[in-house]
Amino acid sequence: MLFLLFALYSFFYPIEENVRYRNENDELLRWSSANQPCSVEIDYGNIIVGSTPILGTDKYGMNYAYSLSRSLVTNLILSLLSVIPFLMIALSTAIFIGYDSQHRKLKISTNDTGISSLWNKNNIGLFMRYFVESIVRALHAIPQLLILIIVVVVSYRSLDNDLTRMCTIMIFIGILSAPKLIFLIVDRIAILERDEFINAARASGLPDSIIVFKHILFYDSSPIIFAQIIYVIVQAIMLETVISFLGYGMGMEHSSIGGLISQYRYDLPGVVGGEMMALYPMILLLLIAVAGNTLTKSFMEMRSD
Amino acid sequence: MKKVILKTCTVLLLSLFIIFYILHSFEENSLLKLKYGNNTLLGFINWGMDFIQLEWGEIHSTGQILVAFGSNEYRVNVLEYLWNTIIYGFSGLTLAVLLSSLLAYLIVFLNLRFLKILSYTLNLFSGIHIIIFCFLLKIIFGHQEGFHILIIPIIAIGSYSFSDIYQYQLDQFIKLNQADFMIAARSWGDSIFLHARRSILLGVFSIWNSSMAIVFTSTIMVEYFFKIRGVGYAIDRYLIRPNLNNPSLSVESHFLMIISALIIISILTASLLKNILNLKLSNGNLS
Repeated sequence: MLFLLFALYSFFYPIEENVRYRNENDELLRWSSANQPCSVEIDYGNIIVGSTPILGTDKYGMNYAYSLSRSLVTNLILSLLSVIPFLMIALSTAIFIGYDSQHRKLKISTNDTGISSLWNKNNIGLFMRYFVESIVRALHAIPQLLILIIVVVVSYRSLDNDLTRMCTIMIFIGILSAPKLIFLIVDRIAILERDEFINAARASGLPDSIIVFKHILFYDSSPIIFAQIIYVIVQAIMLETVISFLGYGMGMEHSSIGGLISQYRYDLPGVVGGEMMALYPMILLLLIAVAGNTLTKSFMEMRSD
Repeated sequence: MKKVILKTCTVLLLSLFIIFYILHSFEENSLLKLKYGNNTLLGFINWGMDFIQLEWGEIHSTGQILVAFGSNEYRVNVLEYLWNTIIYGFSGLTLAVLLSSLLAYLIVFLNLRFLKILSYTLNLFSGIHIIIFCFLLKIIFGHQEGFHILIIPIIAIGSYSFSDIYQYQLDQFIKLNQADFMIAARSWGDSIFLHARRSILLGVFSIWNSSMAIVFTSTIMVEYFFKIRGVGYAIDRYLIRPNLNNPSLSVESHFLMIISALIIISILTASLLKNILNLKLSNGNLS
């Protein structure tokens, strides 16, 4: 909740985009702490006397809280781009692989040799299921960073627009995160089938759509789904940082947390003239990770209860 | 057994095809397209034949040949980089498995409640991305480049694997602790570990597989960050730096394909071995 409130800061104070904080010599006030007397330049001309904002100023003499808030908003919007394909693919594929509306056996008999047994039965539906399951397993087997590097490097040449490229990458992150949720839901369906829950629901005359969407996805699997959504959001924010750190970020005009870390990397403590305030984006990232982890845990505990 | 091998081979072929498809089709002047033609499927088959014959192509920007053994200024030994990554990743994963299993064992079987705080803290840290740990190591310890002893714990904790393994082991151990044979063993005064070791081992093998890909990702990231000779370092040197410095160069598709193939083969081989061992353990062929 605090993160969302902080993200709203940049909406409430959009004017800060064109505000620069300067010292008495009219130089940009870089890495200044909060409530320091200074002159405030608005819209590149109007100068008034004031003080530095709540988190001080950043490397470029801007309101640091505004920069961080705007970056958080950018990252949250980008991560939502991951969540949409993630949910669409994960839910539809999990139901396709796991839910058997005609009571056919999904698992292939151990005496058969897989594909050949499927062809012998002349069952295209089962073969399709086996094929889709194999694709999901293949996606799960590829290390996420490796395939992401491939997508990033290829799209760097194919897509000129930074924002379009990052959006494409985020969609890929969503697709690549789907296998984990797919397997979790497939496992849940298997457990429900074993407990005769699905057979009982069918016997009571419930249509498949109600069983799938209401009982399996909403009642039984919603904590897992929400936990995974949080995981994907955090993962998308972290991977954006990695991509920006690799040098394939969105550039200066689209501020993001990864972009800020990348811009401040030579100002970090430990290097000559290092500045403690340059750590703020990393602290923000750390808080996002801890908040995400805690939320995921509480969703999983909710499921256990 | 046959089914497991068939499944692994299918997954291997499909995952390689996915990567080949991206590298072959998404770039207009792809090096793979130039060498293997416009047909993706035929190109993939030809690439597979070349891969088996160890004709791995070359690095376009430097003209160095990709080889499996021996390196000099004209040849790049890919297996050497992979081997280093496997060693670091394996060490990190082993540490994560040992630490999480030990903590779960002590908490559940020996009832050492105070360790819960330690495990909670480690779980919390485990949710933090590895890149933050890399930054912290750089800032707090001033480590700039090369190997550092803290890199192994960073890989172990900073890749979500610790948290996943710990949660799994804790659930398994709680169930195991309530099992009839364990209650009987305790009442007879037998060693708990002696009776639990088989189930513990089965649990370790079950979670090893899912953590492999994540640990590889973390290891590559650490290698990239601290310029440690491994796959991450190779990716930086032969792929990212030339690509960023000269965007007109084609993407090093041959290099990426070989690196991806070798990593996926390593992961799937480990997974296959784990499955076979798991089957044997479940059947009681191994004690």
